Amino acid sequence: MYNILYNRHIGTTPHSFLLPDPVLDVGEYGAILTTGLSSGHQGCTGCGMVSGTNQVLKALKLTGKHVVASIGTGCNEVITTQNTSCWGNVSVDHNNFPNTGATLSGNVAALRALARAGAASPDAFINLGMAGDGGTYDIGLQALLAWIARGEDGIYVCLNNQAYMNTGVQGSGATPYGTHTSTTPFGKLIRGNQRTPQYLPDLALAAGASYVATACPVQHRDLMIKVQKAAAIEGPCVVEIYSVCPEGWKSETDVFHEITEWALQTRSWILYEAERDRKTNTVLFTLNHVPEKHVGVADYLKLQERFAGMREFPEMVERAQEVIESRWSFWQPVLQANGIQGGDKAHEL
Amino acid sequence: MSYDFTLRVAGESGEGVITIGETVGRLAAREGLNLITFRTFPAEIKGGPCMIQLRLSDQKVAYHGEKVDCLVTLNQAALDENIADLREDGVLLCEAECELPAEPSSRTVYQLPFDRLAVREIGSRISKNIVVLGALAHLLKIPKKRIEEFLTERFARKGQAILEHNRKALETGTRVAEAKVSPKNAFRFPKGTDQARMLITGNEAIALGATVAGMRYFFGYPITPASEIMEWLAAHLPKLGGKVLQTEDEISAICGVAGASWAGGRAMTATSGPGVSLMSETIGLLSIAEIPAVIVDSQRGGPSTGMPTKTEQSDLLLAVYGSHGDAPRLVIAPIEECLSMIGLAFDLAEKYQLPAIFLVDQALSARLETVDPAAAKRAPAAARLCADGGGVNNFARYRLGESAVSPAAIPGTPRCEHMVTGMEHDELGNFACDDETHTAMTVKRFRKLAAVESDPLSRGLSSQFGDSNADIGIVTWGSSAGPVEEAVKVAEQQGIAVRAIVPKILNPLPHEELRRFFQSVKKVIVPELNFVGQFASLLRSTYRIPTISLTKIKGVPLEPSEILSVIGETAASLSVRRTSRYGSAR
Repeated sequence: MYNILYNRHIGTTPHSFLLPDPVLDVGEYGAILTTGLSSGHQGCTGCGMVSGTNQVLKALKLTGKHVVASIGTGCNEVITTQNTSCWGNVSVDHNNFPNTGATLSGNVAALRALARAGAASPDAFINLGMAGDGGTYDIGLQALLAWIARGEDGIYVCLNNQAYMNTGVQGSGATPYGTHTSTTPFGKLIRGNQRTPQYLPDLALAAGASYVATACPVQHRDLMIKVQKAAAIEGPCVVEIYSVCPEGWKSETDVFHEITEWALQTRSWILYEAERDRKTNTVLFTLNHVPEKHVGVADYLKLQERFAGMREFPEMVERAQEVIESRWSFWQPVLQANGIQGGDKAHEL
Repeated sequence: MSYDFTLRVAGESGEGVITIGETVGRLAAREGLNLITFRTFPAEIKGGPCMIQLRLSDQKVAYHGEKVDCLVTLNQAALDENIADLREDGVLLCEAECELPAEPSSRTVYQLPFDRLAVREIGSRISKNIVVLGALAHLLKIPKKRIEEFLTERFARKGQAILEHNRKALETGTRVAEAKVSPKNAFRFPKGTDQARMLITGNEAIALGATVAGMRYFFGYPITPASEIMEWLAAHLPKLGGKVLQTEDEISAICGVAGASWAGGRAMTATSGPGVSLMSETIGLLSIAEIPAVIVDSQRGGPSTGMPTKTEQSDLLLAVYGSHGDAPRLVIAPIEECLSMIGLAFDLAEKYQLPAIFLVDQALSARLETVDPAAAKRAPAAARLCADGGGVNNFARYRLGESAVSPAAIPGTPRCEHMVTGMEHDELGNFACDDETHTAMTVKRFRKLAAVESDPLSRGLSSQFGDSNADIGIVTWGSSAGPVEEAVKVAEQQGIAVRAIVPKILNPLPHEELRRFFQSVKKVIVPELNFVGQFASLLRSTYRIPTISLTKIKGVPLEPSEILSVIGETAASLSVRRTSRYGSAR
């Protein structure tokens, strides 16, 4: 596998030990003048994916390079392709559902050929792939892991809204335990989704990714720094973005921030990044965010009606909490080194 | 004079348009009327134009109607888009704010402030559709009691407050309509049949029909417009001890079906064209390994991601020929009776150990229709021929004998241990690539298709209508049969004799019936929803006959008028050249 090294420092910085120089720090509000995703997209009100894509494109445009985007079928493709001008000067290629990873390889080959022919500088492009969780965890996984294994340059962004929203809210490989979707209905016999999701960063690291990170659209600085790092670091980089979906999560359209904050507070979504030193086969893990106080997962389940059934069953809530704790226990060394007991800052001595 | 009423409701997706249409439909069905619907879906995830059209009749209806008697529009765009389809003597019920077309017409127009009523009087814009329903109930003279019963059924479980809220919205709509709208007697539902009917969509019928046929293992991957089949089964199949497994892609789904079916279960997957493309390799495996399976293909606009929410009949050649090599399979294309035809697909697949592709389309999948519940009682009529384990060792799974169908064996049957394989094999399942074996096994597999053709199960499955002495013949398939039936009727009224045949098994084709049909007519028109005329090309290559191909790729079903105009042209050409007849003029 690989050696694990923990970064003692908790938080997001523009420095990476894989890069000679830090990337641009956009500040807490990500306040910059460039435009990411322009108007004209057809995203639903309160969609987290739109904000995520916007910030990804903003961060990439800051690098001054030309972005070549390959987008897999999914919500992000549907809402940005009826009026393609919303991509600005990004070159966009919509491929089939399973193919985003493979398309990234094709683009790398083409860009290299252009460079060899003297038609372009090899550093002039950013090879970006974007897909949803269905196109990543399920049908696109083979192409994605194969692309990572080939060690080619590029960024793969997974916009994770935890189900197939574009086709009417069917469960996916990223759907949380207990969730009601149209293919994992919450009933008397079977109570919602019985599986716990896989984790993309784990899969990507195992396949050999240079850099993996999780992000959310509410933490702008964190997200945009990570995307810039992914653009600068050589080799395959994977960024997974938590994307609220009011349509599929049966939540109000004005609680995008609240839900995302609850996800962070309850550690249902953990912000972290990992950089691989290929020489020593060591992966440095950095935890970017620790909640202010210990909050149980029950609070996260409140604003989303997709969890309405599960909320009534304490044993299910408990099971969801166990999943979180087992995930969080990975960070014990960092928490201990920072004097954080029981997993939250409130206990800080 | 029989009752025949067509209603269209149009607006923005999310405004409750479909609820209005479906409610009227359910109320009509309860009065004993027959009903068929057509609805469009926006390509957007939320919002976008949508409409539902219902045709109600006390007779059996085959088509959702071309021009509408009553149009209800909830916004300006919907009005502009749909007004041309309203009859000149029709009634328009539209939002008050909307601007009407400038040209004069004899239509009756009622403008009511639905939006304002919902917001000001009811306090929520979401209730607009119930206000509209109230007004519509007055126009159609639907008894108040009926509609209240329905509201109670629909909203009571959501709590008294919500029920009251909707009741108020309904009353507001009716009250305002009473002051402005004069109800139309011609629209009023007559008393229809007393027979019990089910009101279900094509997708629901497929899911229910498969369950009744004994299907207990479903593997699928979400895809528009077939997802509802998996969703319905996910909610209902576990109650019967069945299993629904959502796989990571279509390749896994079909391979899951292969596994479950080899193990002896009746297994199915449902997808659309992109999924069938991915499944094609395994369809070949099922064919060579002789494993029964049912694959539902609800066609949509293609190729690639294409037009996911629009209808098309462009997977025919993929269904008949898809997959490499010589891979026989069954292709079954129901016109409307998904509920019983899916059972037949299972019977034939099991009996002949073949994959069966069940070819429907978006329009049929999403169509809400009244169905005879007797069709849901169809018992399986055939089973897989299985060895009982009484024999000796060296079980010959692929025995070459008089019958093309060799006994299968459920894994674990004593003395019947065997290997199923995608490689060419001898009788025992051993890999063999000598010319003799490959020829003998290919012939064995194709002989099953010949046997299907003469099987009583697949006989008389073609639908025929029109004048059997006609010179003009129409051959069509799938959901295009509805508009064809309508066009044939109108042509008859206009004095043009036309006959039509709609085979429901497209591979193997019902050769005898089709040959007889072709001999009886002088011209053959083949209407279908694809660009190149796939069915016409299949018929031309199989029967070497000239065809007049009528194709359409607008993402919506054919309209009878489009078929009628080709019938008219053909009739005119026939009256000029009286001598041409197949066999002599070719």
